[in-house]
Amino acid sequence: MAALVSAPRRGGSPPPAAPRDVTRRRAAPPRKTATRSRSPRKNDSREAAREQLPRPRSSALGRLLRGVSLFLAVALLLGLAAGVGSLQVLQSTRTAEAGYELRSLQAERADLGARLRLLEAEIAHLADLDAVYTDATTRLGMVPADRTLNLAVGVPAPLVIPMPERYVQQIAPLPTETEPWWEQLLGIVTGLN
Amino acid sequence: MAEPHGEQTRPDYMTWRHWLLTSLIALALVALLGRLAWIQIANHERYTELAAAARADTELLPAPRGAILDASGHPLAISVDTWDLYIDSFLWQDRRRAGEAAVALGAAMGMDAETLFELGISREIGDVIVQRFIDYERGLALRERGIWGVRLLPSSRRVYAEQELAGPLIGYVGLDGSGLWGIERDFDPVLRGSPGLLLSERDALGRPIAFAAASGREPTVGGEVQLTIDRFIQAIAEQRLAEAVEANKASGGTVIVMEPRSGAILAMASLPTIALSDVDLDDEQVLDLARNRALSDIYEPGSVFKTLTTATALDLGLITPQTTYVDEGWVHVGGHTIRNWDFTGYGEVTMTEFLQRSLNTGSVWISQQIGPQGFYSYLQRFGIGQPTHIELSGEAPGMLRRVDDPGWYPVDLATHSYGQGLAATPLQVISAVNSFATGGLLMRPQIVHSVVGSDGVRIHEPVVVRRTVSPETASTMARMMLAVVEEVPYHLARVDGYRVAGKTGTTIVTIEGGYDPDTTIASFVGFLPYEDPRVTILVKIDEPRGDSNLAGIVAAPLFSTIAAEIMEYLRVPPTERQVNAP
Repeated sequence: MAALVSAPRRGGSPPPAAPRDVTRRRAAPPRKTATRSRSPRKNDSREAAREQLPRPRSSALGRLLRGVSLFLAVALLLGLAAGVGSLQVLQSTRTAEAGYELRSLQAERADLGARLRLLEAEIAHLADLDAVYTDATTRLGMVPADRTLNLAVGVPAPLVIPMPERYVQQIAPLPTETEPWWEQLLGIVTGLN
Repeated sequence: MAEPHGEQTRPDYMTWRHWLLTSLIALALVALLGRLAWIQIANHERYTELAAAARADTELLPAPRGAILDASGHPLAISVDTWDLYIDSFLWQDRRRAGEAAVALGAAMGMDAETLFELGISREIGDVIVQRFIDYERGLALRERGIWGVRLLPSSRRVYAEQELAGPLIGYVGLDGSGLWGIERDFDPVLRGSPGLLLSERDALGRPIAFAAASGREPTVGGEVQLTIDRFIQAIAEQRLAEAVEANKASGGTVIVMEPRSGAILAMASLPTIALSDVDLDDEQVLDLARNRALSDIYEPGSVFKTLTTATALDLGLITPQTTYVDEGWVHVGGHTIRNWDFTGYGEVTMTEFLQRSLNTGSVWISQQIGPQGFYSYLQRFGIGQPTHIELSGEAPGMLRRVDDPGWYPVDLATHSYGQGLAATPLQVISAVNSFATGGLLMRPQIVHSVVGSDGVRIHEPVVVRRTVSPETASTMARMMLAVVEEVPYHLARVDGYRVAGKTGTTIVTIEGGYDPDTTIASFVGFLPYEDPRVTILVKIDEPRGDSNLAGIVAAPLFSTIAAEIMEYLRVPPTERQVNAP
């Protein structure tokens, strides 16, 4: 009976459904696949040989490892799926953030442009002839020259007059901002750097 | 063993109830699919538009108007960002909220809340303008407050930094942002740029959706126009002209300062003028005040024209500076008697003396030597009777009746020879006389140095129109003009330290039916330093009614004052020992 039950499993067919009652099982025709696939004599000899071999012992550790490896595989798959999914979400989020930042920078640029034009107008007003004249005559106490004295000098003027160093503005290099390693990595992965 | 009750009553086939339920579900599904097909296929475009309209946002991106700069790059006209304040009258139909908004707006703007409320509810739909050109910072602060039913739209205001300088030349911008006259109008397409339009989508909070479908066009910032005008020289010209006009009780005047070699106009001043800081567009006199008289108004140049007549004869080899004729004080031409301005005869005089004394008889004598064909041919070479093609609109071509024109009489040749009976603009006259400072080359007057537009920088190079006379003739003519100023005792056009070549011109003003001998136009054209001319200057005083109305008294001192200040400003080394130097 054990051979009849185990044979289909080895052949890869699903096990027959358990009969609901005895009457139906008895009335059911014998499974053709079991008897048709192998000859009874051949099966008997194989089973006999197998019974003579020492059965491998299924230890608790092995079962545990099989269980763990299955769990790990599933977890890995799920993690991978979650990772891929979250990358896409991350990418969209960062794209959206970059978009909002871009709009914000555009607005800031427009604001700075407007302020720049205001400053230009203020400079123009401060440098207008009336303002300069008023400032010179009132604040600085200057008076218009009543005559101009021209002196002839025998030495030709230099073509380029160098500006004294104290008037040359020293421009310090801007400090470079470095991102943390994880942001760099994220940028490489998401391609948003 | 008995079978369960359920298995006995549940049939293994579809009963009518099953069919009914299945049919209802199927019908519902069909209806749902039909509706979806109706929305998604049949009315796809309509619903797409509705959805887009719900999210769509249209934003006008203003393009700042470009600046007008002087020769040194100093802005003469510049635009600054402002805000226009509107009330949404549709929203303000909610009287309770409108009242609260009016109070808040009134407090923020320093205006009467009740007036604002009345203004806001005066219409049922549309926006009501409250105030234009609110300062940028103030508008930002107001926008931050987010007052209900109040809208702030970006605008810009034109600022004229030098306020009253070169009003007719620079021009003005109307409320719609387009130029009304002057450079503002003539270069409007360059200056105004084009506003951009951003069509985007907004989320539920009204924020723009990043990277959503956005279209439209980028704003094109207005270009810049750099003039050849130097604001310092312009200020000198305007200030001294105003003083001279006032001192001589004149009706107006014009000053043009030109750089001889390039034809660049360094200053172009005229009176009456318009102050750009105080323009009232409703004033009927605006058009008259805004007219650029230096190129739109014509006048009879008078004795200044004798330089052209003399140069023509010199160039044709008919005379030399030493050629003489007998001046009897008058001459008969075609039945008319032409007299000298001082009603005096000087006997035998040379061509140089004729110019120094500005004798009409000498001019008539020379024109008779030249003949009408040659005379008018040379006038054409000098650009008389034709526009100079400066980069400004409204230029008058002048009036010149030639020998082939109907109505020309022999006396016309005689009167034209000393600048009466024809008309030219001050710009034409200075261009013609300037050719003596350039070795005989007629330079096209140039008011624009460069234009920076969206297509790059265009620099206006100097243009030689044609040769008027030979270099030798130009040199001789300059020497004769030098003698006019430097060899006449107490000539008021002299400039201390520099040698000046020039010629006065006193024109009797035409009135209906003839001339008014008491009303004149006094002018002087000259260049300096004689050795290496740096500027050519024309001054013209209209209808002086002071102690004198003669150019030598009225115009020559003005020339001297302006020229001296310009020489100092340009740091031109004196060519002569200064009289007042220690």
